[in-house]
Amino acid sequence: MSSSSSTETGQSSAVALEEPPTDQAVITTRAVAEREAFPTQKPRTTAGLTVLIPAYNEAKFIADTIRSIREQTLQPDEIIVIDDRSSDGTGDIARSMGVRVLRPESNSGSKAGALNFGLKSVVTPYTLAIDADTSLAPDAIERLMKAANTGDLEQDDHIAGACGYVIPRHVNTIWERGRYIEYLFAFTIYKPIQDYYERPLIASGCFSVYRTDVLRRLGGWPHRTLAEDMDLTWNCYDAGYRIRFVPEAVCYPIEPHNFDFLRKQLRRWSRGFYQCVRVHWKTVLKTPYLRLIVAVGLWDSTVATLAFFVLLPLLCVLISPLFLLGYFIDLPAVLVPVMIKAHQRGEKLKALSSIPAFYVMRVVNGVFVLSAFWHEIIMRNRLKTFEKGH
Amino acid sequence: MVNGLPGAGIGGFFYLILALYMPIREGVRAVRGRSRREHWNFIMQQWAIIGAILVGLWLQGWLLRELFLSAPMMSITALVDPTGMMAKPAFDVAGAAATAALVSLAGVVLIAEGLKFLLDFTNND
Repeated sequence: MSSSSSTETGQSSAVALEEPPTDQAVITTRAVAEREAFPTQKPRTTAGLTVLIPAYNEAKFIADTIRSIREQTLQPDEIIVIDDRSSDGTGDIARSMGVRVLRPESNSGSKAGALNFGLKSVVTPYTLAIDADTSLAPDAIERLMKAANTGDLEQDDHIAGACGYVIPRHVNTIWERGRYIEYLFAFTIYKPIQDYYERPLIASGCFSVYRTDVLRRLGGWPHRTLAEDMDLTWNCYDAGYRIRFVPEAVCYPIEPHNFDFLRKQLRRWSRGFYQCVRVHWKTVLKTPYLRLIVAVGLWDSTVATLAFFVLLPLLCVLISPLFLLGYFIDLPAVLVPVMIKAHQRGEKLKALSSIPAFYVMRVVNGVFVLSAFWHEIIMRNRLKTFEKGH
Repeated sequence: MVNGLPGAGIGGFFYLILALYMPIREGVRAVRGRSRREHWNFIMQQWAIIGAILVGLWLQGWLLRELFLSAPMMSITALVDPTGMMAKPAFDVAGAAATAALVSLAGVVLIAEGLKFLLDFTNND
């Protein structure tokens, strides 16, 4: 086992050395520009914070992730990589970078399992979970801990955690471009409004911080659903806590670059959403605004999606081909927030050229959402296998 | 991003209404002494975005009408609509669809609130 690991480590290290610096350089440049736009207070040296990085065969990306944490303006007390029985030397790369590596006796079967394994070793008041393929803007942790410049996370006991703004690190393929527009749209319009009403639908699993005592009280990350981040967020609401969205804290995950990875991710996300609705329906109903956000989400994911796939084509055939315009009728609603954010980030051309991919992505999303509704709600056939896809 | 089709359906209307309702909520907070300056700044930003979206939608509607219903363009659109009779019904149905979306939203909100009321009622029993 060890000789096999060391061979793989050699290969993986080579990959890690070849790819990450370019990405990090880009992120650092962006973040410096963002920091100039939003000046922060003098950085502190420690945060009372432990970073947990669940990792399974992430040799290509783990070095970049650790490096981006090392370059933070607010340093965590400890970085723990949970090497979930990787076979590509992920743990060895992490260890060589001086972070603590934990390795369970067997693969935990899910991200939640790996995170809970790591949670046992956390001794700081705050725990930050970050995906192994996610890099951070240099001031992301500082901004997240400040929770929207008010210090809420450290001063308000009712706030259990906070999440940040997500932007795909690479925007090249059609799927990455579609996701890029989705994120620019959702994190500029939907999520800030949800935050204003104190009910973000989900604290994104790729970059979120929590109070450690609350995490332990709630039993850590739930593994009964495939959307452990949404499940945990709704657990927090059920226990009377709040979650904050901090748009200034930016992270850059690797998004699916091909359809195979996208398929796994969308299957997990869409099935996980319905699993959370089934598990938490009472919590959802009793939580102000969350019940409306989820009810509207359910309607759009079923009825609106069916109309999208069935009603519009029928109208095109039976009344007028002009109904094809229905597929793009919301273009201004998408374009305005996307271009505002893209302008702030200096990415107008990238955003404009990615708009068509968003419409392709929307069709693909619709297929997976309907399929998930059929399997999870109608057939009651719960998906249990956690398929890794970025 | 998994719940529904972003931008389409009733979600767009829902978040638009939530954004428009924010000043009222913040006003109530102000009366209770819980309002913050950052909240008003945020509300102004969101209203600016929503305003730009509404202007964009109006411009799009105007452009499409000019494109498909104006006389000079009829000769071009005749390729797909030889009689010129299908365009107007399409725009009428589009208007009806927007109305249907708002009615659906009202229905979804009522159902959610009704279920919550029912849950409270059964819990009290």
